[in-house]
Amino acid sequence: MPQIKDHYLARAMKKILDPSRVIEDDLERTIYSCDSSFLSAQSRYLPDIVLLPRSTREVSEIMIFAFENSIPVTPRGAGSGETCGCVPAKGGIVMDLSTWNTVEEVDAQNMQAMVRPGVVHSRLNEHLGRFGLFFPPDPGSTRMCTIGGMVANNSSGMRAVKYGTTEQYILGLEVVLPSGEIIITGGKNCRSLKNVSGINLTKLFVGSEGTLGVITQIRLRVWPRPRARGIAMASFDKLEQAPVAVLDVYKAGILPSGIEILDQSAIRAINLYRPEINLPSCEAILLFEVDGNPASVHWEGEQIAEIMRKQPARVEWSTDPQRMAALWQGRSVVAAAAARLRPDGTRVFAGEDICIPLNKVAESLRIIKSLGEEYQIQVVAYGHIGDGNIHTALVINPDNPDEVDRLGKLVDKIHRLAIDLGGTTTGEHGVGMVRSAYSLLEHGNTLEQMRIVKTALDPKGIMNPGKIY
Amino acid sequence: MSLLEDNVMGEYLKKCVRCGQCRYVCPVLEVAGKESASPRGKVFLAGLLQRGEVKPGPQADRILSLCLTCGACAAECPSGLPVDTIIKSARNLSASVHPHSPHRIMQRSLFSKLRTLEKFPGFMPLLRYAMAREYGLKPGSPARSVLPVITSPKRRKPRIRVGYFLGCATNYILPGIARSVVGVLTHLGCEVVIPPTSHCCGIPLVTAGEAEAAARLLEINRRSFKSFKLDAVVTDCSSCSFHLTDVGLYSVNSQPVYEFSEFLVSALNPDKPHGPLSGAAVACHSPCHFRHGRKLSRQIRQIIDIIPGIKVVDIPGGNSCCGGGGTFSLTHRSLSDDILQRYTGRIKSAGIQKLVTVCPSCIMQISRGLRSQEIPVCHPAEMLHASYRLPG
Ligand SMILES: Cc1cc2nc3c(=O)[nH]c(=O)nc-3n(C[C@H](O)[C@H](O)[C@H](O)COP(=O)(O)OP(=O)(O)OC[C@H]3O[C@@H](n4cnc5c(N)ncnc54)[C@H](O)[C@@H]3O)c2cc1C
Ligand code: SF4
Ligand code: SF4
Repeated sequence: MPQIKDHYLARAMKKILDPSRVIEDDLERTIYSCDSSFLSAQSRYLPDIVLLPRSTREVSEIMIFAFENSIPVTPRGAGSGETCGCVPAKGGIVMDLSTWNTVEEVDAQNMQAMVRPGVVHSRLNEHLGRFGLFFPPDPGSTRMCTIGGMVANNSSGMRAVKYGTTEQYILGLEVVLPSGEIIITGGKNCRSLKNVSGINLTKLFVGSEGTLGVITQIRLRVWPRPRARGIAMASFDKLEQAPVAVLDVYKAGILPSGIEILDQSAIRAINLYRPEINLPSCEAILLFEVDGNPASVHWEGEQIAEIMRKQPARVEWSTDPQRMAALWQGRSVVAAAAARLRPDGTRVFAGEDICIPLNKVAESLRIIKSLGEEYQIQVVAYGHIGDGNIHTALVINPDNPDEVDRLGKLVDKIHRLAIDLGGTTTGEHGVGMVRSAYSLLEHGNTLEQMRIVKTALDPKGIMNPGKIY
Repeated sequence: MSLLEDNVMGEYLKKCVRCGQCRYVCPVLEVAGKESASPRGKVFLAGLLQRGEVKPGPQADRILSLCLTCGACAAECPSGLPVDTIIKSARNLSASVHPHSPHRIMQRSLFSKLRTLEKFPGFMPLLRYAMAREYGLKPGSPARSVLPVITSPKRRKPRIRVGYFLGCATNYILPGIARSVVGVLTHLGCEVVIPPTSHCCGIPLVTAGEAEAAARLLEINRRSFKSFKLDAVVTDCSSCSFHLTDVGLYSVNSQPVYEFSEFLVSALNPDKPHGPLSGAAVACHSPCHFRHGRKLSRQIRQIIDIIPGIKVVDIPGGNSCCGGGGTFSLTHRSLSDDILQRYTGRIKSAGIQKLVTVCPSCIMQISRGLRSQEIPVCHPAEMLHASYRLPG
């Protein structure tokens, strides 16, 4: 960090924030060097100071100081990201926004809510539930990630097939720019549900991964909670049958709220972790979730079951809340449960988020499987097959340097495969540090245009440097 | 789970994917806010210590002390890490490097030598003074000094012979609970044995990372209970039950050391008392070691439900940690108070006249928070004792 003495920085910050919200201790700062990416486990990017602001004024004053003194600033939510996004690549200030977690308003009549960035996704939905409402994007990290982090990463999840990604639900934002200036985007200060007045700056900040400014307030669009849900589980003897079955469901004019795939090793991992879920042993399982009113749910469930049987696949249809919760939970724990496949190993988040055109999903799964064999690394595949977003959980022993080396090569192959097949290296987790090497490959000369936008808003390059561009 | 060997701890630590799901349930993080207070942060630190990247010392101790060892994180972790045990084991790493620091010596002496200390003439008056100041409680004579070693049912042959593990807090501070436990168990046909040489269960020492001192207490306790022929061991405290079940006090076909309400529900099937308690709306608090440690759930309620005149009410937002955590409430008073106040705020809104729970330490802590509201906190044994209209 240039020219500025640590104690001077701490003293200045304690004039802006209550000293209890200024963290200088070495060890505590070291703890802030990680998110859930494998890269962050292997390296130590330490902040010089960690701040816990709780007002727009505080954030603005911090940014003014950082701007004047050219100090890097990295916003942080819950640190559940998988890209080193919230990790301070160039030191400086980490702004932990997770304690600024108020749901300021639920305007049920106008189907919207206003929140501060640190609200945890599942707590927001608990709160909205009291009004019969919900915020539809639903990441697997619902119990940890913050709304600020979701906006910054444009997160989505298991129900993106029907409900889309975070950006569709952001009516407007309050953002503190790197200079400390506070701006309002879109409909942040109005209550209309549509707004095309002016250039859409909201969309610029959604998915900007903390590189353009600090998001300090969010006006969200919320939806009525569906009255009924059902889950159809189809099990296949051949992995290749599953992607075909997904396309058949779409062809029949049915749009499930979620379509998830589990490959053979994912099934095994879940059964090891929660034997009571008792998934059938086979090459692939598809979980179709449908929601809506009871009659439509019933009808769509029957239709899906019929289409599956023709594949042929075995089908279990359930509207029993307990069974549905168990199946859905099975899917959501697989990210971590994958580590169960190897007593001396762990699941690492690297090369985990490719998104492939629907008609290439089967091919990609086959190639990834053989790549895993080539590099002798256990690959557990699962994910949001309904939109081609495949999560590949790689299970390694991180203490073995040879395995770590092979992992790096495999991850690179997976990322390049995604681009070759006409997809992307990341469907929902983002670029951060871990995928910035592919930015040029994915965007060509548009990357330069992105840099121009970045420089216009952040001329000194202090906002989350070392990411994306 | 008893403290982890270094290599076992290493294997667990490897499995932490730093997903942060444990953040969702941590009462300390909720009030402290910073990542170092989160379970993930402490697991990360344990990794640094275990790999020698960071040296044990006061800095690490301070971070590791930000934990109530409630076990909520371990129950939440999708990778199956015993997070609370990892934190305790990391404390043990530090304790083994700096075994002679003044606070460690004090802590060790206090819990290892309570039975000796109680013989000093000033001990009970000092304790009484401290308890009256802190909790508004006025402990009488220690339960052990008034209860016989063996109490048999009055009018019938015993159905079963039960060892009663009398916890420290009950013995010294809330002896009325012990009288009720013995009264109810004998009323239900048990012969109750309180081994005279039993000691503190050791959980405060394990929590402080004092594995060796805890192991010595366990040996004493094993010998004390082995000298009696018993069908089961019961305790009035869910933390003692959790710890002693975990380390295996006295295993008859690897039976647990039963928590009182668990024992009544699973072994005694108590008859409905006749004496109604006057119109009380009661809520049940399930202590953390009851829920997460022993994985028990409805037993307290099942017991309270049989008492005539009582209406059981849910606490809005459900059960939470009370912020007591043994010595945590003394070493981190302000955090502990914040956790307590959030919880008692919800308890008050339930509109109850009484709270019932199965951990003397929770009783003391929550009583502190509800003192001004005049909502008493009691043990189910006391309520049953009153409802069975037992003497004493
Ligand atoms: C087990 C697991 C499952 C997951 N499942 C999904 C999933 O299904 N779908 C999905 O999309 N993601 C998923 N993720 C990834 C991750 O949870 C999301 O990216 C999440 O939105 C990150 O939120 P966070 O609060 O943890 O942000 P962080 O990780 O703390 O930060 C993420 C990025 O946002 C920036 N940022 C955070 N807050 C702000 C702010 N207020 N202003 C500006 N920038 C900010 C940071 O600088 C960083 O670049 C998963 C992660 C895990 C560990
Ligand atoms: S929930 Fe488990 S795996 Fe996730 S961060 Fe916490 S301890 Fe690690
Ligand atoms: S045991 Fe309880 S207090 Fe300690 S880290 Fe886990 S959840 Fe937090």
